[in-house]
Amino acid sequence: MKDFIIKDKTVIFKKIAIALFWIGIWQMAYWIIGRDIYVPSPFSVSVALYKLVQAPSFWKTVFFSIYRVAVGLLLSIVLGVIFGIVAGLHSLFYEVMRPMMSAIKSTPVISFIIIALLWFSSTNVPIFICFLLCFPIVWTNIVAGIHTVDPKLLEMAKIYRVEPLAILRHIYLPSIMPYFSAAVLTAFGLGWKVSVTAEVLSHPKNAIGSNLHSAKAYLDTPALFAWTLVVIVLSILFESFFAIWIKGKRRDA
Amino acid sequence: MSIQLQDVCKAYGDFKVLDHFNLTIDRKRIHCLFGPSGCGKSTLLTLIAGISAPDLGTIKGTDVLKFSYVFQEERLLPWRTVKENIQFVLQSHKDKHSAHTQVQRVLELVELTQFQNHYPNELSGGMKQRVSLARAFAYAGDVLAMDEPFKGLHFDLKRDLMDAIVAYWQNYSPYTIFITHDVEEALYIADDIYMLEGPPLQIKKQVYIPVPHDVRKRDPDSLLPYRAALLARK
Repeated sequence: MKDFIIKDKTVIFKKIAIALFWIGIWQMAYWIIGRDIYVPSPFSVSVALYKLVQAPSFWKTVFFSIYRVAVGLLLSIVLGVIFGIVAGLHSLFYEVMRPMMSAIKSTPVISFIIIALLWFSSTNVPIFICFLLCFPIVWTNIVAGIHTVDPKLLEMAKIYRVEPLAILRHIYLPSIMPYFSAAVLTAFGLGWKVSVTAEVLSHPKNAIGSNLHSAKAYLDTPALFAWTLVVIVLSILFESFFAIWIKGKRRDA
Repeated sequence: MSIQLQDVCKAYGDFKVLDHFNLTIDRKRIHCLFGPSGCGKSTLLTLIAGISAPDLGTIKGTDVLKFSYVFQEERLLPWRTVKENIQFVLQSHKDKHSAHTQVQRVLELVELTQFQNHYPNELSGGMKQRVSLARAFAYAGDVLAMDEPFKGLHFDLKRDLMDAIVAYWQNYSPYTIFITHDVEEALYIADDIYMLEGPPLQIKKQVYIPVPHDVRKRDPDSLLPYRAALLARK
């Protein structure tokens, strides 16, 4: 028990030391460059962040940005899983969908954003972009997961006349699960990045991206850094919650 | 009622595994497909079970039958426990309590009750094979088809399982077909031994053993003439 506590303390200490090291590098960069407009100091960013958090509009902004990312991610996960399962099971469907997925993956995000600006209202652009960029990731992983399902297990289930739903639950889902969690973790990271990018360009009301744009317009670099930190923290929180949920799922299964 | 194979042909590309093969299987005897590796025995069993389809010829009498199949490899779900692996093939059982009783009964039969909550990767090869047998017993198919079911098992347990198979056959009289290349296994439980060669698969000789199973157990010498007949092929 004592050993565990000591080990825990060592891990925490190590993490704090690593964080301090990088803040130190940041501080040194600030000293070398010497101009707040290019690289603000950790202190001025902290002050900017403190001011942001104090404002009532901050939480509203964060809430609506989370809402957009969450809707985009949810759409991409649900549709990615459904279309991925169908494509994994039917090669013709896979062949039809594959060129579209390759095209989406290699198209610059900015092209999609510009097209989306013409098609959607400003608040829906980030949702669409988040969905569009994350959907191929989920789809590709689910297809790969289905292709790893052991045909010998399927043959066994067929001969024992196991119902299709039970085959899905006991053979397909456990085989897909590692691919699904990897896809969702990647999508969470990417989802935040592209949604905020889309917000910068579409200027919806109450959006982190819109605030980043204003900070840039007013040359308020500490605020720019502070909002960026907020995005990083939110993205890490999303990933952590999912990692905890998936861990619980694995324990239950 | 019998399972009848008439002029069955099966080829993989130009490689003929079965060429106008004929066989009749009934419930009155335990049938053994006895022959060297690679002669086409496993292909024959997969055709009977409907896992693969013949290129030509007909297989009659299998349409409505349920198959309890023991594969050469165990084919267990790695993410499910021993108990859950057996429950997996009992999904359609309406009565959960009877399914549970069934699982416990077969686990006892293969002496794995204390390992029921273990995962396949925590078991030895022989134990996994026993789970696969238990799954086949629990399903209670009309046909008990086994592809080298005693592979990797030590002698005492093998004998207990062979007794269990005989007892199961005597109680429920399923069509029972098993593949082996072990003379002792064939002599201990089979009534009808098809000595096979190939490919293409052919019945070289058929050895019928009319000795009741309890006599075989009591008096192993009663099997001596049949052993000679089996070994005479060489």
